[in-house]
Amino acid sequence: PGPPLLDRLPPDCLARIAASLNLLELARVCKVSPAFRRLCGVVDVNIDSPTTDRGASDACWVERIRRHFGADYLRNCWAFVNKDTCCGRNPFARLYLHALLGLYRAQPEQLLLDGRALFPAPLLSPVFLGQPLSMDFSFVGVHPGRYDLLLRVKKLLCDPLDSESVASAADSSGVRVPLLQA
Amino acid sequence: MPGIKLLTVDNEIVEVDADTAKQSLLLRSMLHDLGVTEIDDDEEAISLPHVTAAALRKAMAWCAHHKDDPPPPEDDENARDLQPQQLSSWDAEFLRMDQSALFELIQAANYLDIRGLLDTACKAVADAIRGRSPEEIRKAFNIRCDFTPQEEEQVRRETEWCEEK
Repeated sequence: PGPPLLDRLPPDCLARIAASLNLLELARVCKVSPAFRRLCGVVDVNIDSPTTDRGASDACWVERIRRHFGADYLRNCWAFVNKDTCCGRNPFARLYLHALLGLYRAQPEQLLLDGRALFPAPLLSPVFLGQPLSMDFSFVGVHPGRYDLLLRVKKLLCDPLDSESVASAADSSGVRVPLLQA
Repeated sequence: MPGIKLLTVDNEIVEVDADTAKQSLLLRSMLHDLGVTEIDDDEEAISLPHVTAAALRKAMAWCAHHKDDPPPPEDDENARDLQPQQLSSWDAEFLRMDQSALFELIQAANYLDIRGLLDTACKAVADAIRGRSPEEIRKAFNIRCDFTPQEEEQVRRETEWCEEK
């Protein structure tokens, strides 16, 4: 085998290659080798532009992830988007984070306000608990243009909660998610 | 036609058309700063320490063919999404080269800041990946799988959702 050519490319080039692949293709790429797996670490999953080919395709694969995890969808997603994966050990962390954000986006604001019990698991994530937002999300590569969405989600779901009420919500929801300390 | 001299990393001097060269944002900026407008025997060649002569010639050939194209959109994510996914037949044929040469061309396009060529060449790599199984990709890119068993298991878990059942 020759030298791993992808290793020679700067991250921006990898991002351009990854941007041309859909999630299924990226998932296949992950299995090829560590060098190829890094391709998935640079992609910014795009489910915010459903009218584009790429956005529609990614949204479709996010839906597939949802179906795969079924009832455990939220728990599994947050299990991936935990402190370890946010530090870059899991190239799919962004994907799961975006899958969750896609779920938030699908809900009218009033539902989010009235029905916190709909999404108890994400409320428990340390990602949303009390840390500066720029720190929380920059390392998972969320596009700066989407900070407004994150801020909105944080405001709607998290700001009023302290760790005690979060623990209480966890008990009543029946969702078993390890509560990590922020 | 005015031209300029460029010194490549493999110590070759390549003369290129100045208008064509200006599709490279790096060269455009250098030419502007140096006040160079045409080939002058006494003029020192501009050194390009990260570009081979072969890659430079290919890059300039691409620029010459695309010289009348509209400028590429701003390099943001949404603009990238709106670009056509398919390579033109000319580009596909142009980029039919061995992988080593293709990756060298990508590096050259990146260094010279020729955005259109960079996007096009990266799409060609993506096309070589698309629709292939991991094993087929390994063959196509001539690489061996050097995951540890633990890593392989982790990857399997992460991508379980995409397996057909």
